[in-house]
Amino acid sequence: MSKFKSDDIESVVVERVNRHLDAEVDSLSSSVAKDISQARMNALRQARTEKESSWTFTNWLPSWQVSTPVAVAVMVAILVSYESEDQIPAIPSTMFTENIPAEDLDMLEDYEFAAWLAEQDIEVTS
Amino acid sequence: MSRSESDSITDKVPISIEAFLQDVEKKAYRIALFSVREHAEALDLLQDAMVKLVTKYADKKPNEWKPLFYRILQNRITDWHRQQKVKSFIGFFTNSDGEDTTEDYSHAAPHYDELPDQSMETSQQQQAVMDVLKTLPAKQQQCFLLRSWEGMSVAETALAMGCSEGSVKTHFFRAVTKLRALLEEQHDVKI
Repeated sequence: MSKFKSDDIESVVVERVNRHLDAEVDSLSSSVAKDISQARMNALRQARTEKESSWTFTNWLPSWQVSTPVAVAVMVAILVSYESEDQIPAIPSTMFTENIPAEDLDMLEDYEFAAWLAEQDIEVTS
Repeated sequence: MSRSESDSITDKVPISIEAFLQDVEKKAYRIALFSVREHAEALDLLQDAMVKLVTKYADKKPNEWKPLFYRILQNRITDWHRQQKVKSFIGFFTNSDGEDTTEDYSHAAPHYDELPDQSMETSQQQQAVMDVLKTLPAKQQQCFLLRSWEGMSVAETALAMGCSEGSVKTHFFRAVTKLRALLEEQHDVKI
């Protein structure tokens, strides 16, 4: 079948069916037509009510005017409260004052002195 | 196609959304009725689709309203069919007393005003065309009605149906072929 003939047939079918569909819609009873327009009016009324009830303060402003300050505030809060895990922990000062007794330090000094004396004796004898 | 692409809604931009709804309401009702076959159900679906369009998409460009509206309507129809399946599935188990659950579609046909000058032959032909349209698979029927009756472009029909433009062309071609064959075979309508 040639392309021309195929297009011709298509237009005839479409034209015929459309004509009948249009005729059918045009001859809808007045009660059905009234129901349809009533449905439209109900829909418009319902949509208006839904729009009014969904009104909020943010509807006043474009979204970026609300979202940008919120995003900046969140970022600042994160940066301020951030603590690096790489920080070196401070040595507790109590370790020096409480855990090491004073007499132990004196004893260490005595050992150092004894070691120095022994070195001196070795140097003299050699 | 008898109606060119330029006949599409894009060239006839409605002034307001109210005017648009008034313009499409009867065809949309008929398309819904083709699918659900119940006057009250078709009206409910139509109203739901209108509410959603006005609430969510009224600020879109007027030339986008038509495909968006039919997309919403088709989604509502699909949801309705799913609900019916669930209902019939539940009904299968609950109606164990052998009660006949077959839906009565005798009241489904739209009501028409009697036209005295309408010849019997025209009326019969019209009924034949409607019967043939009803036999088409849902996608082909939907595609044919949107593309040829509503005069939507391939792109608009694809948006309304939620499929590719290639699928629209395929569905439309198959619908036309089947319509032609059925009209010629069953109703002796020569094309």
